[in-house]
Amino acid sequence: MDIESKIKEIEKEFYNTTDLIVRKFESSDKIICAMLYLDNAVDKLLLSQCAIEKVQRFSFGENPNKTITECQQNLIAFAQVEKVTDKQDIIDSIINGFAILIVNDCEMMTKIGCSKWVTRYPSEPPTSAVIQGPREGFVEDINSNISLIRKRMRSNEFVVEDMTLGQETNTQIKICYLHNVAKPTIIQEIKEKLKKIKIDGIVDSSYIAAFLGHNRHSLFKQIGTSEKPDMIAAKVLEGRVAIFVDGSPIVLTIPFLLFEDLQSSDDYYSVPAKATFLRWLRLFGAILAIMLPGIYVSLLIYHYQIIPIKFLITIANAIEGIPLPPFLEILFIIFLFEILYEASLRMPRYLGLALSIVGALILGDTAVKAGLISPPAVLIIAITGVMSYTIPEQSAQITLLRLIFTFIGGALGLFGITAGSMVLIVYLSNMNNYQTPYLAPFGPFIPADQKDGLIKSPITSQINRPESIPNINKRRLKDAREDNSI
Amino acid sequence: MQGKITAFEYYMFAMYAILTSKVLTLPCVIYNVAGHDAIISLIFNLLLDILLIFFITLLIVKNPETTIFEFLTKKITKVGAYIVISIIAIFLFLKTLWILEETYEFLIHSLFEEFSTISFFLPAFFIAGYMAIKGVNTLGRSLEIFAFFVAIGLVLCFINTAGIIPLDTNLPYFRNGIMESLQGTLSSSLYIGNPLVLLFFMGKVKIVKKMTLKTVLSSVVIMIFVILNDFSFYNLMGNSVIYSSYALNHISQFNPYVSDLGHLTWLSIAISTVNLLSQVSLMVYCYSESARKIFKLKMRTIPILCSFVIIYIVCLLLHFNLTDFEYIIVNYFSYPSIIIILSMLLILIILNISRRKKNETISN
Repeated sequence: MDIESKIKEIEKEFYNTTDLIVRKFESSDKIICAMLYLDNAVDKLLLSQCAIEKVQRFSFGENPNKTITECQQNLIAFAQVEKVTDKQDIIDSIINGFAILIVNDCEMMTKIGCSKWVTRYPSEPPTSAVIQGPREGFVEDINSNISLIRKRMRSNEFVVEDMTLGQETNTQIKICYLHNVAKPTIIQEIKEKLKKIKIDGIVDSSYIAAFLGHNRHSLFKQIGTSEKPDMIAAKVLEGRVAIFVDGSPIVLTIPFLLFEDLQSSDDYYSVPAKATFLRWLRLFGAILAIMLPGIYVSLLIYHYQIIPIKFLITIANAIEGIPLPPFLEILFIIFLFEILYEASLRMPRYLGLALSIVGALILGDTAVKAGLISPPAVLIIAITGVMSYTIPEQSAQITLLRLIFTFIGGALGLFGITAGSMVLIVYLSNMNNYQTPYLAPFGPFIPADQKDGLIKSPITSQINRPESIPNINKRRLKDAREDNSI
Repeated sequence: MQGKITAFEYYMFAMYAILTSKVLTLPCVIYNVAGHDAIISLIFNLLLDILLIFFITLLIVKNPETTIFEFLTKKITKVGAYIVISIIAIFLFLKTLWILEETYEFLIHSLFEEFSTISFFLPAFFIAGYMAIKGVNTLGRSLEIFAFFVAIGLVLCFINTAGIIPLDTNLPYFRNGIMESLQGTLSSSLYIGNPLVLLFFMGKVKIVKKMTLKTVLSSVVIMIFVILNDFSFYNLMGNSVIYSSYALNHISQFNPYVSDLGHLTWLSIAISTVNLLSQVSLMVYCYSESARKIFKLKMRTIPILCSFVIIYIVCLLLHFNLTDFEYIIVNYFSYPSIIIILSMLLILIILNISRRKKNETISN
């Protein structure tokens, strides 16, 4: 098959897309060559300097089939240069940012790894800003992300495995773990689950997370996420498996515990006592964010007798003349708050700022003055609204649960709130992902893991890896006494 | 490990078994019979439970891989095993019925002026059924987490009154001999025997070193707490105990020093509800597991649903009135109940001793 037929066949496979570039040129002995690549997917300057110019100066001789190997090995100055013959391989290579060199009268083609995708430089992720600690964040380019993690995991035990998912997007996936720590059965289970994914496209890592969770209709997230390389490195060191998805700055970690969202990267870089205090604060913040409106409604509707008398008088004075019953009043403010939040997120930044001020100050103040809503109800929702961001990763779940508990409190009073909390805990206790109980290390209670639980101990006392995460290498810290004995 | 609970979860189960109602309605029920010696009756009551826990745990530790059904079948044939298990299951079912009615009455008394039966029984059935259906792991983990709240709540309630308890309100004890105390224990026999639920976790517990000792010690700690709380209640209330129904409610609010700040009634209500519903879930799991084995059912759902319908109908027939329940229980169930508990205790002792003798013979 001559070079023209080959080019036409490849162009046909790409349905004559205009961004498939065919750059024809001649070698020094006038043999026609062609370089095929996707526009904007390769580094054109580098390709021109390190491949095209060099081939132009090369003499293939009478039998290019013999000399092409020399060209591949000694001439083309790229790290990744391989021979390719299979048509599907050629197509896959082009879409993955390779350039394909075709030489007339030569059966073998050459793929050259010179991809250059549009990407940004690592910067501090907006979702996990820290006061202390590294400020690097993942970007949308998978190779840059692997580089960021490799920088921290300079060990031959750190393994990266490749996979491609999505029939139309052919998205590159990388599974990373520590070979001497991560449990093989978990790695195997993850790989099997990934292989079973038959979808047209993977646009973001959240697509994969949806397939990897065991309870697909669950309200709660079952796969860990992070944008910070230091966090991912720390999780991999504990025996978790990290999954990188090309095009997404969010890296997934498995197994995931609910408690992980109470931990922040700051906790590990500050004084343990402060980390302990902050973890308790986050926990109380989350509990109050979920239950406070429900408790308020139930107290006002059913159990005003258990409110202290002075407090009751203040509330009674404040709600006097409000046309809505407490339940509807709270629901009204919750919806108002959520609408303002949603609108301020979607609006251009300068408008959003104005809207939040208008919403919080003017709308709230006017509604109170007009006698539509009472100041205690506004206060309750404002407090819970702020508290729900003590755990930003779970803010969506907290918002929904707050609504559910408000309904329960309005319908069944404090008994409903207690029963609802019990159902919630039973539901969470029942969740198991990748051999890991979702509520570990509290349900089941694992005493050894409490060192990094609600009470944070210094890293020097965390001798073993957490038992909550299944692993094959328990020890993480060599005891100083052992060194002395040696 | 799936299908097995941890030793810590087992200790918590024992805690619930001791705690149920013993800081709520039992002190008032006993006082009506035993008078000033009520605390002594309560101690007898608790000691019987501790004995049950000790012998059951001993049996579980010695047979870590055998379920109660397999064990009894091996020892007393299949028919014998079915009879024993059925008796315990019926006993636990009656207790469930009693605790649910008690919780309903408690909530009406403490929280609501009007509370529809459906509003209580539907969520209660849902929680108990959901936990029981999900199996031992879910049950263990959930009750373990609830236990923290219950324990913290109890400590707070006790601290609330600790500084103001007069110690001599009911002195001297044994004014009329020991009979009053024994009668008090007998009249409240349906409150004893909750640890029988632990039998159903035989072969489903991850055994640890010195587990029997640890279980008994943790149970004794809970027992001391129960005694302290009830002692506070009796001494704070004096003779007016006969007018009260729920001990923990009084302990949590009977502190004049903090009246300006509001009392801890909400806390006592929350921990009592959690405690009672947790114990109900344990019992529902146990009797539904028995029904599943006896009737060779694949799932626990059917026996659970049937039992809930029966419970609701019985409560309906008794007009959801705790006084009627108490009357029936004290008059008709006291003796059968204490006979079941004492015979179970005897059977457990025999089973433990017989095993030891057999082992000694083999080793000789």
